[in-house]
Amino acid sequence: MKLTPKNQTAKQLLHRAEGNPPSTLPDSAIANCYPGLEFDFRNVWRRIFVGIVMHEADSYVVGVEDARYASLQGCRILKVDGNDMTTILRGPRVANGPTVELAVPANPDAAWFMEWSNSLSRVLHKAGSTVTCEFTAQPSDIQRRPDWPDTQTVELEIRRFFEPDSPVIARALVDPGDLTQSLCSPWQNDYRECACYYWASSRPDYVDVGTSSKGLSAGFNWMDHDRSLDTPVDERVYLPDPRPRTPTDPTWITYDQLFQEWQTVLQFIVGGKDQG
Amino acid sequence: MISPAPRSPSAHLAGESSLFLPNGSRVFSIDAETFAALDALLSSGDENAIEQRLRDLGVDVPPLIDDVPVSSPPLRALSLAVAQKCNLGCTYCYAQQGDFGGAAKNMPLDVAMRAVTLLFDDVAAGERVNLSFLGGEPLVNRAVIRAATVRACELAEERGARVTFSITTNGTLLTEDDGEFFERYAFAVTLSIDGIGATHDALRPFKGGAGTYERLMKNAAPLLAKQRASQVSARVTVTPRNLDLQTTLDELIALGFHSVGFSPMLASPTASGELDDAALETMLEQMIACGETFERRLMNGERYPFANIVNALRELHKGTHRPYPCGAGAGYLGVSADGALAACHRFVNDDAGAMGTVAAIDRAKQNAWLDERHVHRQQPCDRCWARYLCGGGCHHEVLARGRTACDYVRGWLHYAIGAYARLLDARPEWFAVT
Repeated sequence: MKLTPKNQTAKQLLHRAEGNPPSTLPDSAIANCYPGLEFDFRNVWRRIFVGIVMHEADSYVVGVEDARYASLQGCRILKVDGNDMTTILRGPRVANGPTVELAVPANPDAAWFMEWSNSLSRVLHKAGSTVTCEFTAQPSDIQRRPDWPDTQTVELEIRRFFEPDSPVIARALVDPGDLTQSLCSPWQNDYRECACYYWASSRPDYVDVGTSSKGLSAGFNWMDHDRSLDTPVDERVYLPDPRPRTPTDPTWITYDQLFQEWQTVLQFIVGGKDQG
Repeated sequence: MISPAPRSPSAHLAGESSLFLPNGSRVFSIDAETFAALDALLSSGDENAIEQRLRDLGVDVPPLIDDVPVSSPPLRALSLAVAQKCNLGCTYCYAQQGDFGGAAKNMPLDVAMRAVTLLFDDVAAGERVNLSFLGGEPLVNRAVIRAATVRACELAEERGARVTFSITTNGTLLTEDDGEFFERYAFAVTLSIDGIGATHDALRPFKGGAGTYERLMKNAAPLLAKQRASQVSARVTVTPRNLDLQTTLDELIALGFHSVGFSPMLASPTASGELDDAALETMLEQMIACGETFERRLMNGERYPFANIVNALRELHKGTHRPYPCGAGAGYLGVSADGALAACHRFVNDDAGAMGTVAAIDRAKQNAWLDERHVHRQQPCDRCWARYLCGGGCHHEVLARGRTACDYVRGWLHYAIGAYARLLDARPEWFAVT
């Protein structure tokens, strides 16, 4: 069977760069919402304002590229063109409780930064022009609420998201390496870190599962060293990985083993069962 | 020979080896065996099997166009009906000889100025807007055209934006000075020409009955000679009386028009000049013959500006897929002489497309229109492979007469997809120029 994409949309949606494996296609990507395994798309927002560099998922100014904006270093962005970039977390503290501001010691303002893609959608049509932006007057390690009183205001140009007349992400938005920095590392820490069907989505979790004499399912945690299909189903126990993690507990495959001996400690699981 | 008829909303075959997928307007080349297998599957009408086969081929993707209508889009283009009057008496005219069925009138200067202001209301630096002048015959109100053009340039400069201009005229009032003005402001000038000599005269006479071809060509000559920044194109409205498209196309190209395009007369207020099924079939044959001439010329490396095929190939190459036929009622609105906004230049004085005034777009009406006109809400478009290329057809024609030209539209696109595959392989460099 020979099938060749001819026009631009066919090529974009089924484009496989020379030398890239099938896993680079969007439909075979190993990812959930973000950051993903292939690239961390959040990084396109870091240079959305000309002259400063933002954190990819926070209101924090991580860098200044134009000396005129030196006072913004370490500050928090609060508003762009009148639109709030943060919101106040509100909700019940206990089931059926009253709605209150959900402040915690680490976040006394109960302030929460909204995702760039949502919070900037109302101003992206102004790309290429300058808009009024409000920041905290002082650097701040913590989030600040949108009505924070001590502010500084600067005029910043919003960068264009795409190259002109093209679906290509604007070159000025992403430096080489930007899109692949801050990736998850599912083959190392996160293989153990993100448990229970969360990450990576193709990783097994609850294995060697059978039906016990009580009619319940019984099986093992895949990170549990001490498991065997020879164990009668009634005696199989899923041991939850305790939190905080105990990096050296020999019950589970350790992080070191994942780094250095993954070829031997990770087993093939087919149809949910250990393959010896 | 594959038929252009709709067999599946998910896939279509064209040419010798082209697979067209409406979702994303994607074009693939496939081998003969896959082509034959898909052909049989499409004839079976088994939609589940077709979709499974597309999954097996690895070309299924989530729907790229959903049911959500465009909402309160930014305004990007306006056409001003600067004169709701005309010196010609074309019987098929959607504007009913220029006055849209009302009193003949010119657009006052203040209305034009308010319209221009509206066009720039939400424009940011680097963006582009278009201002076009239509009628009736717009050159009846030359002074307003010029003042509005100059004002639009001033506003564009203030905003750091770009503005482009266009005008559609019958050419009988054109002067050499107009040509200089259009050249200075880089107008896209479209002349309505329905054929050569007597053919044109019969369709587009002065109100008194005399022919207009000679006058039009005499007036057009200096513009054709001058066009550098400006472009002078010809638009032919096709009726049962001017179906010899190849002759018209060749002669107009030889006269130096930047491009020549054909448009079928589908809905006329008097029903005069409308094409019936047989005439549309003849027109399609003629269009394809012109397209084949284009293919031969392009293969020889010659310029042959047959606008319909050039546009079809460009859109296919980009994979244009959209839930509307055009920007009408969305980023593009028409303005009547008295300042009422309409979905486009054809809806002037027509409540069906009313959308506020130059003081403010009536967003509620606009959004209701966009909701109603989404191609997912059109019948029988939901079963047609061409729905995201055609967008459901011209709103004005469909509302006036229904979907009478679907076979024509599909036949043309079917041919164009085949031509695309042939030309892309033979002349890839032509597609690289945007």
